Amino acid sequence: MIRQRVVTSLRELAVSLGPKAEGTEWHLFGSVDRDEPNAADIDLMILCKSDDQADALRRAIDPDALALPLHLALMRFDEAIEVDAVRVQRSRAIFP
Amino acid sequence: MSGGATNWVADKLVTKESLEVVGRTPENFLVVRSKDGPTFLVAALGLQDVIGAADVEPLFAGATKPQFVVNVPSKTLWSGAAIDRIHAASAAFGTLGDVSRAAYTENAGSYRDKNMGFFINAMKQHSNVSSVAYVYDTVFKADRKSGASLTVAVIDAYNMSAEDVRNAKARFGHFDVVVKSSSHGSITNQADAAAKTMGAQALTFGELMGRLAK
Repeated sequence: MIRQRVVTSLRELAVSLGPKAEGTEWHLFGSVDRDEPNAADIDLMILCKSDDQADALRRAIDPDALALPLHLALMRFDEAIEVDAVRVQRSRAIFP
Repeated sequence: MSGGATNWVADKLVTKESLEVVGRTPENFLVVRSKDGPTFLVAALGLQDVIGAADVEPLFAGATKPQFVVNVPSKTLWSGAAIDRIHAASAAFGTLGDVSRAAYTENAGSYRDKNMGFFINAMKQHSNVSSVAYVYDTVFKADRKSGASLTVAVIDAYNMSAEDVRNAKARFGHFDVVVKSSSHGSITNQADAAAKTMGAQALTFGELMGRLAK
C-alpha cells in the first residue's frame, strides 16, 4: 500500500522539478519498494546526465517533504553502468 | 523546544501505522507509543545548520527528560558535543526515520544508528587507534597511536558516487577519508577521483581498516 502512495508522490515531485529533472531516471528500492508496512524511509536513486544536474537535484529536493524521510542517492548514468547499480540494488524504475 | 517542529513531527508520526502519539508533557515532549511497545518521550528541535550542546542542554534540565531528540530538517548536522550530551543522558537522537526504528528497541533511549555503531566499534577496536570521537553524527575523528589523526566521513550508501563525495564535502567540510557504510556495492571511479581532487580518499570499510594502520 505504501509503495503506490510513495510512487505517486515521487512522480509528482519529478514533474514539479521541470527542466532540472529532464533526462533523469528515478529508481525506487529498499523497504518501500518491497511495500513493507513498517518502512522507515524511502530509498530513491536518481540517475543523472551530468555532475551539475546531480548537484542541482541535491539542492532542489527536500528530504523531509514526503510521507517518510527520503534517502537520496544521485549518480551519473555512466557511474550506474560501471557499478551495475540498478541490478545490484534491485531497484525499479518509477520515472519517467 | 520548537512548537512548530513538535507539531510537524506529531503530524508525521500519526500517519505511521505502527506508531501513535498519545499525549504531550508540559515540556512539550511528545509521548509516543509503538503498537506493541512501551511509551517514550520525544523532544523535537527545529534547528538549521549545526546542533550544538547548548541547543540540547535545556531538554535535560528538568525532571522530565526525553528518551529521543529529533530535529527537522533532517539534513541539519548534530555536533559531537550535542551527541555526547544526549548520550550522557541515556537518550538517543536522529531523524524521523530513526524515531520509528527506536520505537522497536526495548528502550528508545538506547537506540543507536546501526551503521555508525558498527564503524565506531570497528575503529575503536583497531590496534593503531587510541580514541574515536564524533565530529558530527556521521563524521569521526580517529586518533592514532602511530600517525596523524584521521577525520572519517561515513556515507550511508550502497554504491558511493561522485555526488556523494561532493555532497559530503559541502556538508562536512574537511575530511581525510570518505567511506561508504554498506559492505556491499562499490565505489565508482568518479567518486574515487572526486575524493582525490579534495586531497582525500574514498574507501571501503576494509580499506579504511588498512588506512588506519599506516
